Amino acid sequence: MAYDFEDHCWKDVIDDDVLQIYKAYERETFVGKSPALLLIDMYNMAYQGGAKPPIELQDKFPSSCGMYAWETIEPTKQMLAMARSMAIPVIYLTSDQLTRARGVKVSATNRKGPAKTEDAFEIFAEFTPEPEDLLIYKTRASAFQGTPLTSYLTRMGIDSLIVLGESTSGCVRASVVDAYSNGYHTVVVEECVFDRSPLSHKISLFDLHHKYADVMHIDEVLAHLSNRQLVKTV
Amino acid sequence: MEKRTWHDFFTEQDKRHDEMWGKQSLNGFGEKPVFVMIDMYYSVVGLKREDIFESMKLWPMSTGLEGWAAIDKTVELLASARKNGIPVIHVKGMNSGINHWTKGSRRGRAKTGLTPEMIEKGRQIVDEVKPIPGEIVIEKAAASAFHGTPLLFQLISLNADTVICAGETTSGCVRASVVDGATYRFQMGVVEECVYDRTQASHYMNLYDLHQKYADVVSLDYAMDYFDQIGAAKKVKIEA
Repeated sequence: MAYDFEDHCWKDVIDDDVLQIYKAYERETFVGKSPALLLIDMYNMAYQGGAKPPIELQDKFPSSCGMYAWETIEPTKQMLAMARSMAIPVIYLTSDQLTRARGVKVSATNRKGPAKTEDAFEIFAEFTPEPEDLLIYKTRASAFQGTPLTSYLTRMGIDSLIVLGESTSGCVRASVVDAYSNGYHTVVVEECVFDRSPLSHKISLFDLHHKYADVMHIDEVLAHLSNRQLVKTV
Repeated sequence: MEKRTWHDFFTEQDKRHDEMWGKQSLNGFGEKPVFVMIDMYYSVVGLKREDIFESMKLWPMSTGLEGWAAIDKTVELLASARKNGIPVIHVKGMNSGINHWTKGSRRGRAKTGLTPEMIEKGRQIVDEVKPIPGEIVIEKAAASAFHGTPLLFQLISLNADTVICAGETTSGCVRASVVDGATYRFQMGVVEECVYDRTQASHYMNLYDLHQKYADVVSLDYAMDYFDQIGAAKKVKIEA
């Protein structure tokens, strides 16, 4: 289960020259001391239409990530179960509809789309929040922009984040860059983030891993956390 | 300048200082104002129009009749903003658990007799100034309406240059919001009859501070004239 620093999904799209250039980033990856689990935009709209290639869902569900969303469901449930068993705070982000007044264009991206269903921005049923979880509404790509997230993290004594959700190239990337800028050590769980575009997904993870965060496989993250659990019980 | 309401709270030294160094003229407002109403919910005025001490028996945060008087004045200003096509933004508290920004600030105070339903009612914006469809409502988790909220994005996307404020408390959320607004380089206005507080000395001294440093504290008449001018200028533009 030991992974090489570059042993990730981007292997088939990054050539040897670039890997050589990026050698300077190589380091030990780790999960922070007091982490919170950050679930970014895991709302119904991202899963609509089922586990199909996004191109087949394009007409009816243009915001769906289809199969790329659905393949993260099981690993995400594992991460959630682990976090809850260790009382790691769970924080959900979803889209803010309260400030979406008519004619005022403030949203996460410049994407056009059809009218949204009522429950479009409700958290996907597989990951329904528990009463003790935090649910934060955001208007922009980053979980930090225009939200009280840092106030909550300070108040809860959080020093690091474990990030799951979508899209890797959009809100996940923006949030992780801001997390780094705000001083939080951040882990992105490779099997728990997704995007409509596999190439954007891979390149974003490559960029984040080298510059701003530790991209880790789910079994690495779970192993880090369960070792910690053992130490605690001893 | 004419004697302002806060002068009564000045010490002799302050009076002399104000003569030497006090603000002599208004900073002025711009061409694209937005009207922002801060924390105008029931728990700071109660459900009935009562004297502050009567009201506080059930609503410990109440500002009493001074709060209601400011709400009535704000009704006029809000109507003026709507009539003149000035964007209206309502700001209220976010109630998601970790709300208080100081630890233990409630320690040592008597428990209130409020039921959960009344606490929920207390969080609602008072009917007199409640939002209508199309108006933005922003929830905040800090004193300032800017902190951890999309207010700044909204103002920028509305191309606002001026923010006119009503609400409460003068010394708390209004002050924090006005300071942040000025920091972002909006021309800030505070409408004196439309802001309120639960302590009079705080109210007046904060008006003084805000007027000196961060905003123009203006009368309701002045603000309504200003909104009318903006509205009239819009009509001319449309016709031209």
